[in-house]
Amino acid sequence: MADRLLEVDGLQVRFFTRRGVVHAVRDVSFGIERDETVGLVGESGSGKSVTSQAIMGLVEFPGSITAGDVRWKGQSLVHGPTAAADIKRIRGNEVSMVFQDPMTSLNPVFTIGSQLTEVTRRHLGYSKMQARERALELLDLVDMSNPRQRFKQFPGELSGGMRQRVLIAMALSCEPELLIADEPTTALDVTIQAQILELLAELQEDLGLSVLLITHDLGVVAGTCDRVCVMYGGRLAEVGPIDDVFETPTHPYSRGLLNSTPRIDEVTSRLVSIDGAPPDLVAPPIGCPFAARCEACSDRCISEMPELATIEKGRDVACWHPFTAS
Amino acid sequence: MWTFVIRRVGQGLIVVVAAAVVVFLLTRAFTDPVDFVLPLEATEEQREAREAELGFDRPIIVQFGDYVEDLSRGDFGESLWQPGRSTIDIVGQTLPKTLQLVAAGMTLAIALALPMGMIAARRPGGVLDRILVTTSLIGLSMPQFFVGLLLLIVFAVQLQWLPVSGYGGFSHLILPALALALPAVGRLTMVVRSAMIDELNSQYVRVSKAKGTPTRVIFTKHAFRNAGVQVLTLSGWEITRALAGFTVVVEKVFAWPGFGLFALEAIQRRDIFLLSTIVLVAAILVVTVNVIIDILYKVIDPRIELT
Repeated sequence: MADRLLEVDGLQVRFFTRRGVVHAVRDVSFGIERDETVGLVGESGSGKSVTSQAIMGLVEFPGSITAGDVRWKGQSLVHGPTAAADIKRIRGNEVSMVFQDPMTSLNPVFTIGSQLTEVTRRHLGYSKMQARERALELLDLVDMSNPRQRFKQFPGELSGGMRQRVLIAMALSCEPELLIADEPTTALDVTIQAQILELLAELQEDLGLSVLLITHDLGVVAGTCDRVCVMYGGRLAEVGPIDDVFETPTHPYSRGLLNSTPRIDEVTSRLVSIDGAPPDLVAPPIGCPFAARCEACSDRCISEMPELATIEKGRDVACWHPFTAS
Repeated sequence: MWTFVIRRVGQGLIVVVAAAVVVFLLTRAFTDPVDFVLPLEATEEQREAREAELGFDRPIIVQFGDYVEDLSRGDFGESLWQPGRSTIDIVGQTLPKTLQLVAAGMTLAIALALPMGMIAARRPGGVLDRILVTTSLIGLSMPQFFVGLLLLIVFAVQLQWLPVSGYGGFSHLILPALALALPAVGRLTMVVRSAMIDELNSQYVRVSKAKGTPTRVIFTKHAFRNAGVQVLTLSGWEITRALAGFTVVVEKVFAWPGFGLFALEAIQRRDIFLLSTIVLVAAILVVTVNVIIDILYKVIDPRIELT
């Protein structure tokens, strides 16, 4: 492996609620290399957001990481005496995050400038003036018009797209090596979505960022990512290079997802939906989580959990009956 | 910002004028002041003579003109209970004592409630939270006079640590201030707690955590500033209630010679002029507190506009 920045290893996250234990993430492992953009795809409740929170150490009560590890450049952020201090130092600094909802992600009673400078002043020990300079530079970097004026404005004075740009600027303040983008465009208008994705792609190239892009939108992944991890029911279903997974999806769920996504290059009369609903993660099935909705389901699928197995170089799939290229 | 302040002060002045009109109508138009001035057995001639002397036989509108003119000169009329003393003089002497009591009580209440509410919000449902919520509920369920008497019995009568009542040095201030503060502490703690819990669950707090902002800063800066609006609303309510209501009870229990106690005296001695001056001054105080609170809103939260 060339230069592995982040390694998620056997991650397990559980939420201890009144309803019972929610097995939100079960045995998820993947890595992110330097300069790589990885897409983490799945429907609502598949555990993709919780995975990103676990990486950032933001899993909140009543949830916790119950097994597995997250390693940043080989160093554990979950176990060990310095893990708690390490993650506080790293987040916002070496690893930063952009969230789903720009409308509520900024504190409404502080100016854009005050929220931007907070990061560099804390992590890099900038003086007030240095932090201000840097903030203006960042606002310019994310293509905000009139940075000086924006600096003094309150979040309520900006549109959703502008706020997302501010949040991206904020995430980039300390020149992070990894940017985690948790559905960064979901809450935005389609035209603004394209702009924000373009901005992310540009920044990724210019700054040599690695990006973990979390989304339920396969179209977004196709345009931006190198590799894709498909999650289902708190587990990884399929991992592979973006083109391969799109050309020849091997997991029935990936196939279903692709079939239910409109494509411009294929003439299909109807979009196919996946019947059924995702499994209840309070009492997850003992077998394959997708079994109940799968066309190729067999007895083995119901009684035995398929582990993620390599089918060819760089391609892993967790399925007893993977589709093979034919 | 300045137009906001000017407009808000202007609105406040209108309320004060309205209060003055109401007080005037209540004392001159809806009641006959001479009833209060003369003994019950006074004859009709005596009443008319006195009425003419005081100018109450003139048309109401002329009387109102005089009243406004007197007020603008700072003449609030003469006390009936203590003839020869102007009512404003009595208020001037008693008001500072009330202000002292309210300031002490409310400072204490806010100083206790802020940390208590914030500590409770750290882990909702945790042991500390439950203890604080229960204590707050007990505090806010107890009426002022009951708290006052309880404090008197325990600390002044049984333990004899503090004086029973009256006005004096710092030691005299402690019990009445506590009696004023305790129920307010309960209410404020609950509001600080729930406002903080709401804010701590918000998305911007998550983003702040992801930025690497320390928990202490998130608590005291980000969440608290947002919770501030709610806390300020209740604090303002507490202060005006204390000024224009609870002090009467507390001052009575502890014989604290503030203007609440004198309001009671004025009622008992049928001194309608003293009472109306007290009401007018109380109205001005309440309006002042509200104007200040509204301006503070704008300082904490730039989104707030006058409607």
